[in-house]
Amino acid sequence: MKTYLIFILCITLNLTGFSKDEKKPVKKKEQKAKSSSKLFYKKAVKHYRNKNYNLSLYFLFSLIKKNNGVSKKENKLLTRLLGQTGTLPLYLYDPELLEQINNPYISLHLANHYFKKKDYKKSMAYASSVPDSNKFYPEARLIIGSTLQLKGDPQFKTYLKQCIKSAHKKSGGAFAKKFKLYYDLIRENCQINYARELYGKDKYARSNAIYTDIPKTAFSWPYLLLEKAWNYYQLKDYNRSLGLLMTYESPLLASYFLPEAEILKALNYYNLCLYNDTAILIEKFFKVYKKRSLNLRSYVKKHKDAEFYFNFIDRKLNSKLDNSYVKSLKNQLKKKLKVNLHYGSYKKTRKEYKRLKAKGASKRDLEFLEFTMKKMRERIGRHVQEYFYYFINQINFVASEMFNIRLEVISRKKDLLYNDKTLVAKRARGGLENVNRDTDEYFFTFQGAFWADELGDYSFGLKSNCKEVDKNNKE
Amino acid sequence: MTKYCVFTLLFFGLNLSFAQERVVEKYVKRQRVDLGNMEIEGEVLTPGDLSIQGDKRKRFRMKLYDRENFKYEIRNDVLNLR
Repeated sequence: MKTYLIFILCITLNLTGFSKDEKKPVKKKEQKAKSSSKLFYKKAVKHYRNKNYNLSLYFLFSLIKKNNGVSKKENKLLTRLLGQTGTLPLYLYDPELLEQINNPYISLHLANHYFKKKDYKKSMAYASSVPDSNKFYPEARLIIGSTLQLKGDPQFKTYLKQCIKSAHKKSGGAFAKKFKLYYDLIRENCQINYARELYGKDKYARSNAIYTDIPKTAFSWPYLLLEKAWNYYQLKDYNRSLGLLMTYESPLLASYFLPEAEILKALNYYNLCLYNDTAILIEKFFKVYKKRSLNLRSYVKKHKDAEFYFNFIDRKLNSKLDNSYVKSLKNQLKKKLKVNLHYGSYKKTRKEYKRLKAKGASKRDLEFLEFTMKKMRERIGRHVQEYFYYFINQINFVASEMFNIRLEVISRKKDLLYNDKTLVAKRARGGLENVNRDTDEYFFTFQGAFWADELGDYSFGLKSNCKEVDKNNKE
Repeated sequence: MTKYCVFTLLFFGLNLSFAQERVVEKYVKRQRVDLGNMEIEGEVLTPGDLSIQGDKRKRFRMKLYDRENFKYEIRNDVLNLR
């Protein structure tokens, strides 16, 4: 009996001993994890209260990474933080980590991220997860609508309609001017995409009607002039097309130099058989613009660092600018939504860094903010650099097309000579009878000066010179 | 000895002939054609009594730039959002 009791005692002691040994480390680990999670969250909240939003975001994402997910409380803090920092700091974090979080800011960021990578399926899935009550709903609808449009899916209309409707509603309810501008810009983009679709389907008159609905005060309006001019060109209304393109000559739109507008001008003159005018335009392009573009190319080749281009936006290179193209591109970029949003985020981060430095914050925190700012500068700078390269490529493309037009003009002149014919007038100039006008279209006579309210409503009155006559009869 | 003489003579002779054959051709790297002056002028003389009616000349037209759609702009607008 004694031995039996001793045996049972041993077993119970062993069991308790073993179980203690096994449970101890697990409990300790759990406790440690819980306490460190609490610490991360506490730090995130503390930095948020002190308006150190980027640092707070860092601790919050560390917590999310550790826990492999996000709680309701943490998600709420994340929304508040991203409302302050914008989506630019999200480029610092791994998309795979972001994919674990169900948050409208993150969804919008991921939708854009996958759109850039042409992974349209994922892009649309993330954009669809933005609820209609959210402030980014119109932008998300624009992304889905544009994606479907690029794929040739007729469903795009539904999304663009939702985009226009919701943006209009939210613009009306926005108190801050910048939010109103943002929603107006999104609405205009959706409207423009409709007009572009109609152009692609050869419905030029209907497309123009949509373009006309967009107010002249819109940010995208200067770019629309070219698209509208293409519509008139396809409708064979070369005078209207030329009149629209002439608007770019006005001092108010001096910073909007669009190389493609030069091809369209030359094509309009060419189709009116005004070969001498075409030749003058082409000569001007090769003498003036090509030279400037070569200057710009050498400038871009000299500066390959993306961070350098950030200085264009940060107003540090103003005094050193001597190339008019660079000035014009800089002005165009500063009006883009992306540049404005990202530059705003950068400025806030810089403010945070300066404040913490003055307070004597830890070296680790300051180094993190320095790293964040560097990445932001690179991101914005790369966007500017890409825009410069795009512009140079455009000039090269236009140069080759201009050369083709020049060859064609020579060929037409040669044909006239071989057939012993000539054009009806040496340099035809027209009048009001050559101006086509719809009921809702204005027409102003150019009195040597551009007036703001007249911009976009000019028309030439040139008479077509395409009638061929016998050379001998004319003489 | 004579063998050596013949060999050396042959060797130098061959070398000289190779040296003579080395001709370096230089081509113009870039040919610039100035099409700036586009004025085409001339006279087609009136044919005399004896003339042959030639075949109608085939006209070759170059395809000039024509914008088909604005797909690039649609994508670019989204890329310029964020």
